[in-house]
Order: sequence, then structure tokens, then C-alpha cells
Amino acid sequence: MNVVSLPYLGLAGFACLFLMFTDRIKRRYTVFLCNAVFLVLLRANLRDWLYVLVLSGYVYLAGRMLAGKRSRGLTLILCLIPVLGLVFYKYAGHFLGDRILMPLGLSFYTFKAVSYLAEIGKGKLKSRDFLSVFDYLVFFPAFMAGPIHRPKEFFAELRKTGTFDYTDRKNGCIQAGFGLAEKMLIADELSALVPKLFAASSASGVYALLGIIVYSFRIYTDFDSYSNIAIGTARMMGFHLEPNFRTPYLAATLKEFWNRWHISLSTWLRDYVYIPLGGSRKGTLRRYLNIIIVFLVSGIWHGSTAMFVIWGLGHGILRCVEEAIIGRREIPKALRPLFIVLNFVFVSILWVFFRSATVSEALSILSSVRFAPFVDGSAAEIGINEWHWMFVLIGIVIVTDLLRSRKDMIVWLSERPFPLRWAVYAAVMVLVIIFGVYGPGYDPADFIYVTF
Amino acid sequence: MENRNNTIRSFLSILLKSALALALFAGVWYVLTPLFRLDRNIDGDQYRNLPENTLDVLCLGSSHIQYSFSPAVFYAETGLYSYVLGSPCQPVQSSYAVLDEALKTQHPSVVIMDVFTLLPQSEVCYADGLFYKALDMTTGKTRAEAAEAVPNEEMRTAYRYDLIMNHDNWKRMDLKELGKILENARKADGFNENLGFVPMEVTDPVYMPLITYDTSETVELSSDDILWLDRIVNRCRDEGIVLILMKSPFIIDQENTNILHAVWQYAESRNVEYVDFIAEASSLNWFIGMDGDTWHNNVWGAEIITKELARRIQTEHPAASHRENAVWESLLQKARSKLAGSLMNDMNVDPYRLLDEAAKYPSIAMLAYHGRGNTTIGPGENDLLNRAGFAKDFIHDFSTDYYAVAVQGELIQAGSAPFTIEYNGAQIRLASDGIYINGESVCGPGEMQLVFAAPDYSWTNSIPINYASRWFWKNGCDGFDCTVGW
Repeated sequence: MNVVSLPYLGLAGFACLFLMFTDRIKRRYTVFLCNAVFLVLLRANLRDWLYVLVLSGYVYLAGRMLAGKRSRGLTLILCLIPVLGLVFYKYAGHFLGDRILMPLGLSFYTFKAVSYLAEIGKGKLKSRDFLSVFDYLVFFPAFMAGPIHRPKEFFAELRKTGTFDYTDRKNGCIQAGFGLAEKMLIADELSALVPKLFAASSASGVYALLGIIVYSFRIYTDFDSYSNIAIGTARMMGFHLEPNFRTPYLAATLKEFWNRWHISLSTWLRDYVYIPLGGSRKGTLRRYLNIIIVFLVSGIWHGSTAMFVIWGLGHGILRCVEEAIIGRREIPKALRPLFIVLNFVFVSILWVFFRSATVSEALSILSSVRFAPFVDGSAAEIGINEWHWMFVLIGIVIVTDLLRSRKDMIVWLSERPFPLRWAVYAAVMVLVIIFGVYGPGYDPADFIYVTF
Repeated sequence: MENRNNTIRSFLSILLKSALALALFAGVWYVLTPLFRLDRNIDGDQYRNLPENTLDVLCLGSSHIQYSFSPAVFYAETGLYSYVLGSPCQPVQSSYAVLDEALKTQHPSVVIMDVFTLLPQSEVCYADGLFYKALDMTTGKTRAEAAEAVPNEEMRTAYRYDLIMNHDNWKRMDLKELGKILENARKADGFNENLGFVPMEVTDPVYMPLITYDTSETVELSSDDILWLDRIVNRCRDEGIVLILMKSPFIIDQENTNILHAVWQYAESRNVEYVDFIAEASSLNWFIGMDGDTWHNNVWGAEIITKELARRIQTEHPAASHRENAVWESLLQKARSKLAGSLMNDMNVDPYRLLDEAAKYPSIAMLAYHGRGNTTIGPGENDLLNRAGFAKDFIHDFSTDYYAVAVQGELIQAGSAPFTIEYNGAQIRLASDGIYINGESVCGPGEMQLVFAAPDYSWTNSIPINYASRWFWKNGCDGFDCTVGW
């Protein structure tokens, strides 16, 4: 089951309605039931079930063991065990010579398990019962691809009682709906165009250039749409997950970019890798080394191939260079657009390594980039309508990001008069129905980050 | 208490807005669906445009029926109105849906259905889009029900809600002219000028006898096929319609012959007439190459098949004829004129066939007959000449010259001496040395000259005949050079 599916929509709707009428005890059971139904709909196999149940049991017991002890060593050891499980599934295949199928959502709930144990180890969180731990780890909107939300806020909302906040739930529904539209309308369409553009790079280097740009927007909209669906669904259920993206391509520096891109992972790496390593407190060289280690961990977390390591290292090195040149200085307002473009160029070049299977493939794409002559889509076997639509979609992403960078568009829309709001819904429906990617002959691409 | 009331109010609001969102979605879907039916099959629309309850005979099935049954020929033979509502690879369940749709506006006395898609050989033509072509001819409830027959669940949903398949057509639409998109939703105007028949011209008239097989083993139709056949049989019975199952001739193999035997057994068990034109090809003088190709009949083959069906219906299932209808008459006049060009053009060198056709289809027949000692004209030839409009006793009065012009069996002018006549804006001159139209010779040398032409002279076909041949009539290969296949 994909989150872009009727069963998921049905589950989200029922979860929202059931949770309206539950007290804090029933709430835990209701969330547990929804999570279990989600795993069933996901067709989780015995291994998936066993792994997540055993891990939940382990985290529950380890949490109880850590409670009140504040021992760094013990916390580290207990945190390492779930990480070793992740490492085994992600990388053992390389040594055993055979690919080992990873339990669904493992990368994300392992990091959540570490969060839970680390927070208890720091004395910032009380240990919870098994059911609550399971609810946290398997919280279905964020199960497959995050966000890697934090335990403290989650448990507070799991135990919360009080009035039903209709506006908040409505906004969650709007956010999930727009996430769905973003996926079907933009991400999947761009996804279909990327291989065609790269394949045509031998005909003209402009196709390679466009392929890189389109891929950058594809990966952004793909993950952003998932995050919007997840955050929106959680909000419909009364849980508030932190935003995972804040218009990252409007960032003027890499530092800014990582404060806006996959925020839940960035902050997790900051809190549980960078700061424990000493952060910026142990001198400049050590700070640079810590930055590189953090990005290396990020690369390794994304995948087990050398390309992800190169991608992570690339970001780490560029971040260090940027730190050395710019430091804590503000980018002058007049130069900001130029820096935004420059930053986008660096990020996009590194996405080529992220996407490619080998270094030579990545270098081949990058070396074929040309800026002229102007082309149409014929060599890439893209029809004229689809060709124009590609630019329109990128335009839509840029314009909506510019608007989102100024105000919360969900709140803005939810405050509009009923006819205008519903006219917008109808317009989005029309666009998705016509231009959305669905139907026979299509194998709607799963979200990129689900595979991590 | 207040909290609880608020929660209930919110709950109701959510339900109401969810319903509104669903209704909005359904409405948008409903409005958009027909706009994206690009290249749809408009045969259904054109059929529905026919005057209600005027049809006598309806044909269903795959392209095999589309190529083998000519309503123009059928009308020429019987005076009945017929229509072919076939579609490429129309599966039997689609035929049921099409029948259901057809009966909404017409009530024919006879339904003829080709059974090609019951054969394993039909698998070569199966593709998702082909099922859709038949489905496209149906509307409303029939359309939704027809989609139920699609075996694959995902495809079934896509066929039932066809915007799932068609929305992608935006990629090839002309978005500069948005008005054209609206036209997709409009019902097609006008009529099918061939009344559903697909004429295939004769291009390579070689004789190749059709190889047939005896049944080698007893096989059965699938339960699914029987289910849908039963539905068709029962529906026809309920409506008081005579059902005729048929298989038009094509190149068949042993396995498919066995299946056809199972079709025959089924037809016997349900007391339905079944005509196997493959078995009858030889007796009907139907030849591969001359009358059809691997799969389909050409116009000559269609003439043979349709004439035989006409004969059977007239003798065994006399169909109630509808009263003369101006729309049908106009359509048939055009269809027959067009068909005449296909049947009687210079590919056809068989004067027996030509004289028969000259009496039935819009055409001009010109004859320059030079009386000699032995013309070898027998009673059959004399009768054909008379039916074509040449009112002379060629057997007893064989020595007198005869010049004549006839139009579709009606004599326009005749005489024992050459003459010139103006007809339809052209000058026809019958002379002792040949036949001329607007001063140009249209006939080669011969002791007897026959020329057939379209009423507007768009085609001519000349048959010069020498009495010295065993029969001057070029029947089959006798009298002209033809290639024998195999």
C-alpha cells in the first residue's frame, strides 16, 4: 500500500473520526489499532511484524533500565543495539553477497528508537509503557518515510485530553490533501520526465542540464509531498509533527539549506551525532571534522552504496568550505538571489551523485551539460504539451515556495471564505484528475525516501 | 457537556464536508470524463442516429463480421435494412453489451453474430484498447455493466471509470483550440456511410482454395463463453429475435476447427442456427486471395457471404420488413453506389457477376452485340442479359445486331443499328467498331462488347468477348489469364 491510495485515505479518515471521541487511555489503544491496521494494509510480513514488535519490546525495557540513571555509557550502548540492527539490514548484504530485504520503515523507526532512549538517558523523558512505545515507533503517518518526530511531544499529545480543535484538524486535512496533489501532479510527472531527459543528453547537453534541474525539483516535491501527507494526517489525528521542509531551494547557503531540508533528520543528526561529538565547542578543525562526520552519517543512512557516501562527503566538504568563507556572516540582501542560485547549483550537482549508480555515470552527465542551443522535447520523446507542462510545474513549485516563505499558506487558505476555499479545492481536483499521474500503464513511483 | 456538543458539531461538519468533497470530486469526474475520450469509437453514436425501430437485421462480432457482411448487398438481395455493429476483436461479452445497447433504439427481427472471438486464434488481436473500442459504443448502465466483463480487476476499474485511462490524452490534445476538446463530449452526428460494413478492395485476385479440416477431437467451449452466449441466446429469445451464429471464411487450423465444432454443438443444443462459411467456402466458390485474405473478406467475398445469408434468411427466417424509410433509402443509395464501384470496377472480369450486379447496383451497362453464326449464348446467359435490361431473345434471334444502353436493369435505348445517346452529361456512342464515351473508346476488340460504368462515369469496366472461346463468358478462370495459388 502506498500512502497515495484509497486504503490509506480511508484509514486516515477513520483514525481522525475515532480519535475525536476517545479519552487518553482509549487514545493509546486507538492509535495502536490504527498502526496495526496500517501494517496489515501494508502487507507487512512476519519478519516486519516480528522486528518491530521485538524492537518495541527492547526499547520499552531499555527505557525502563535507563530511567533515572543518566549514564552516558549505558545510553550509548543501549542506543547502539537498534542501530546495529539497522546497519545489519542495510549493509550486511554487501558482505554476504546477497541483498537482504530490510523491514519496512526500519531506517526511520530505528532513529526514533534512538531518540527515545537518548532522551531518557539525558533525563528529559520518562520511560513509557509498551503500548505507548509501540505507538511512537510505528505511528503510521510517519512510519514509512518520516518525519523522524521526537518522543516528548508525541507522548504529550498521546496523553492529551480536552476539546476537539476543529480548525486544526481541518488544516491537517488541507495539508494532507495538498501533499497528495503535489505527489500526483508534480512529483510523479517530473519523475517520469527525468530518465527521458538524461537519456537524450547525447542529443544535446541542454537535456542533461534540464534533467539535473528537473531531478532536483522531483526529489524535493516527492519528499515534501510525503511529509505533507504524513504531517497532515497526523494533524488530522491531533498530533503535531514539526515541518520537514521549509522552502529549501530558497536557501542562500548550504547551512541554510540543511536547516530547511529534511529538517527532522538534520536536527536528529545535530542532537544525536554532532553535539555528542563535541559540536563546535572543541575548536575549528574539530568542528569541521564533526560536520564531515555528520554528513557522512547522513550519506550512509541514505544508502549503502559509495555514491551516497560521496554525496554526503560532498555536502560535508562544501559545508566546511562555506563555513570557512562565510562563517556567521549574513548574506547581503541584494546578493541573496545570486547566492540562492549558486546554492541550488551546488545542491543539484550533488543530487547527480545521489541519483547515479556510479561515479563515471555522474561525471558523464555533468560533463555533457550545455547551455545551448534551445531545444524542444522531441529528442527526449516528450510531447509538446508535456514539455511545456514541465516548465509550468517547476514554475508552480517556485511560486508556491515564494509564497510559503512569506506566510503559512495552509492557514491563509483555511481563513478564506467558504466559496473561495472550495473553488481552490475544485481547481486542484481538476488539475489532479487531468494532469495527475495514475491509471493503467503507470507504475506510480513510490516515494523516494520510502526506499531508504 | 459543551465540549461534547462541540465535538458532535465538529463530527457532523466533517461528515458533511467529506460528503461535499466526494460530491465535488464525482461531479468534476463526471464532467471531465467525456472530454477526454479522444479517438473514441463513434459507431455507437452513428447507430443511435438511425431512425428508431427501422432496422430489420443486426450483425454483431469482431472485424470478421465488419468485413464480411454488406448491408448494401443485403438490401439489393432482400430489400431489408441491416446494420453491422461490430468492432475489432469484439469479445462475446462485449457483443452482449452491444446487443443490449442496440436494442434500446431498434428492434431487429434477426441478429447475426460472427463467433471469431470464441476461437483461440482471436488471441492475436487482443489488447486492452480493443476491448475498449466495443465498450465505447455503449452508454450509461450498459457501459458500466459491460466493463464488469473485463477479467483483470485493475483494468475493470479503468474501463468502468474510463477517465482513469483517458485523462492522459491531454498530452496529445491540441490545447491551442480548447473548443475542440469540448467537441469530444458531443455525440457524433451523421451516419456510417457503409452502415457498419468495412469494404476491403480487391487487389490481388488469385485463386487459392481454402484449406479446411475435419474435427479431430471433441472439445468444449469455456464456461465463460457459454455463459455469455447463453445470455445472448436468451436475450434474443426474450425479444422474439432470430439469432444466427456464423463464422466467415478465413485461414483456419485444426485446433480452431475443433472449437468451431464445439460452437456448432452449442448451437445445436440451444436450437440456434449456425452457418460455417469455412465448410461452405468451396460450394460457394469462395477463394482465398480472390475473396479475402488471412483474416478478412474483401468486397467480393462479402458479396458472396451476404448473398448466402440473404438467401437463408429469406427462405428460413423471413424477417419482418420495415416500411420504406427515407433516411435508410438515402443511406443505402449512397452505400450501393459506392459498393458498385468496388464490385464492378475493372478488377472484376466475370460477366456473369457483372451482369447480375448491373441489375442491382447504380450503374450503366452498354452492349454492342454483333450477330454471328454461333454466339454460345445459352438460357442462363440470356436470362442474365435480360435481367441487366437488354431485352432481346439472344438464343432464337442470335443473328441480328443489337446495340443497347441500360441503367440498373432498366433499358434506356436499344436498336439493331449503332446510335449515340446523351446520358448523365456524357455522350455514349455505340458503334460497329466499339463503344465510345465522350469520343473515347472504352472497349477493346471483340465480337461482342460489354461496358459497365458508374452513373457519373468515375469508373468503367469493359469486357470484350470473342465467340470462339468455349464459353465467351469469362467465368472463373475460363476465358482470362488468372493465377492459381498453392
